[in-house]
Amino acid sequence: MSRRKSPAFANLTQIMRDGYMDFHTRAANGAFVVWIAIIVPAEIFAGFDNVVYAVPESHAAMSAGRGVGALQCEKAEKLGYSMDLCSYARIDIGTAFDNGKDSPTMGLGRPNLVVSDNNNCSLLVKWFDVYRREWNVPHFILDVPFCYGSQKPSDTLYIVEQFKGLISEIERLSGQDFDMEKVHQAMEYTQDGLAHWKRFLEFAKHRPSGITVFDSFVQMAPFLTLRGTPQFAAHYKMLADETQKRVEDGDFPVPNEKFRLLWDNIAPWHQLRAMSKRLAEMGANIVAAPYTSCFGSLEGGHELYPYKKGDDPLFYLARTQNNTVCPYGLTLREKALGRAIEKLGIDGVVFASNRSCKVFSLMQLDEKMAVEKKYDIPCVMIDVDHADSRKYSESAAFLRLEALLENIEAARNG
Amino acid sequence: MHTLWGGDIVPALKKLKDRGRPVAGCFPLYPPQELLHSMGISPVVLWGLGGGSNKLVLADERVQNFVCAVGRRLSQLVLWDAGKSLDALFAYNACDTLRNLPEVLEAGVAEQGGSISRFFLHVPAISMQRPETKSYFTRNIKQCISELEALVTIPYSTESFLQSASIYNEWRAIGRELDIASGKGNLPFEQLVRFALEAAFLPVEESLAAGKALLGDADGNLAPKNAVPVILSGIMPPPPAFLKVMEEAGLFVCGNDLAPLWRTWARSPKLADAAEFYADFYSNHFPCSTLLPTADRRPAALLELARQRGAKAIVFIGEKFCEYEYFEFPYLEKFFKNQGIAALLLEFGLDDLSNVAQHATRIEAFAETLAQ
Repeated sequence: MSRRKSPAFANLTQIMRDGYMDFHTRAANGAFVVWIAIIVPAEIFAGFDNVVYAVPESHAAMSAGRGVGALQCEKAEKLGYSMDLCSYARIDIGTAFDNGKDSPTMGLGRPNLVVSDNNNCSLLVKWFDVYRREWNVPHFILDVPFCYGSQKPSDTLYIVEQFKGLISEIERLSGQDFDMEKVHQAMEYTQDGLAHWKRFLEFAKHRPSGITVFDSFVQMAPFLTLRGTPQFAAHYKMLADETQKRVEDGDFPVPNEKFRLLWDNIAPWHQLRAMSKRLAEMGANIVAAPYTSCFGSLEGGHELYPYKKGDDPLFYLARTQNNTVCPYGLTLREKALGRAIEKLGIDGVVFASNRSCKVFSLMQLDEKMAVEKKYDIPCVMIDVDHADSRKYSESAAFLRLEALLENIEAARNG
Repeated sequence: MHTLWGGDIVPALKKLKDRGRPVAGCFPLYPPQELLHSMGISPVVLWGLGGGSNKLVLADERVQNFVCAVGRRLSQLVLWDAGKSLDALFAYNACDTLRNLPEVLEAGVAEQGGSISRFFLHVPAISMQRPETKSYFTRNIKQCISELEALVTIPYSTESFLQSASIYNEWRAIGRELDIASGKGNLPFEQLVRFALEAAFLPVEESLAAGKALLGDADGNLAPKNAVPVILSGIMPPPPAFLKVMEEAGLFVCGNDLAPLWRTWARSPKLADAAEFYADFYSNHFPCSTLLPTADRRPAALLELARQRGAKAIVFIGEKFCEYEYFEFPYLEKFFKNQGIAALLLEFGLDDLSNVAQHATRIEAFAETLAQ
């Protein structure tokens, strides 16, 4: 059976479709609509009876995956937004100001509140300000300090205070009461799902690997739009169980795996199928990426940061606000990459220098030097744009990828 | 050669180092220079670099070419210096690029056998009207002070800080006067820019004296007759060659909100201890796209400036790859068009001399439209 037609992949399609349908239906019936940046803790919204949320970044990634990224980017560019801006932002602005036309999800409706943060990048704040100014909607900003080391305890408390402010703001704007008990329940669903997610990712250790990074890119979608729900927990259990069964049955995505690679950056959403197919034909499997391994962890790590029943959800959510690579520095990034290389037996690293994400990309030249020196494995840097296919050249990328594989082979042959 | 708008800055750096005080290379845009100064540190703000023919060999090894010229140029300087003149790097969360660079540069300096201390201040990106935000910022300033005290022999004192803050406020006042004089045509705009950029590499006392002398010499109406007065808006000033193009096209710069010029000088914060001073400094700064809570005030502030200076148009100088500015341009352009003020957007970096001819064509066409 094709992996894309497996029960877990079919379930992914189903729960994502249902999620967007539910969002649109409830929004049409008067729910309070919030647009959020991806790291804004969605579990908080579970504390309200009738709040729904959408994630523009997720919508942009989906648009790019469905081949309409460049089209939406062009709409934003015609409105005066520079082609040098993040392609997620351009896709989303293009979609929003064309009333959802050409969107795979019929757009995201109109929000009652937008919530951004500056941990992944400060530009999210500028991006969401575009909607605040154009539509006169309130914009709540979460200020999350960058980490060069572990998150400082004073920063954690600062973030917690802001979460409390966000809750008060939603209460004020929506007229709804907040119930922390419901957030406890949501946290348990998230934690359950995260534990299964980590179990799923562990199958990359197997030789040949039980997964490819492209599986994890596709499967991360519920992290953005369904955290804190029973569907979230059930889906990742299904995914991990299914992957376990495949490994036990000897069913591997790249059965003739000769090269085990690591990917560093956001997924190239418009290239997933083409890139995975072509790499597999060469016996190469990109088995993991910090981009998908970081969920549920602390900055600089990929291990599950546990949430136990009775813990303070706001504290937990604040403590994990720096987990997504972009909000932490070079020392931590090198540590996280090193652990993955060692744990997964990586033969080479693909650093995807991403013009649309300077924050992710701007330490990669140093990371590359450090990895080559410490682990003595070949690395390559390729140019990508995570969502604007016009800024990607398959031939240029594969010229380098092929060279990487040749270098690995040459090193093996002494 | 490391240049500052065409002039070699290495002698200035060496002179600072020879004073015997630690020299801190501060990342733009608005570092807390008064605090460093009060603790016996010589702050230099690492911007305005470029304009020479030197290649960015060292920076290119560590920083991709889609990073703005400000970031790439300061990287080149720090890596070239390798800790010989600069004892420390001081950064705050001015932008995503700049928050990523300190460790990269520290590693690069170490690789060459040098060493450089690293300091970072998180300035809240949200309003300090929220009490918890201001108390958080106060703690950050105190923490920053205690870290700096490890570098220097002079501990922080409010008295010293107030003295330093007074000098910087006086320097800002001189900057304002020079800017106004330039807007009236009493001082060439190019000279105003040079004063602003050179100030970053001079002790503030020397820059203050230079500013006073310049003000004393500012005289006569240099504005060409029939020239159209315009405001220049953006992060960095354009290269001198571009200013010449503007002049030849019949445009006269009557005001600006460039970051090292008017945005820096427009307001002197109230004198207070360091925490209070900087809460005021960052909260009530002249609007800047990088100081997120101030950005909404920018259209009105620019409009007021345009009215005060009699500007007929605004030219936005988009620093190449500065996404903070890019997100605001469509909104600003629309705002000014609604106010009946023509606006032109150009994109380039400080050291980008290759596209002057292309920009010249656009400037000439814009000037012709204004003349009609």
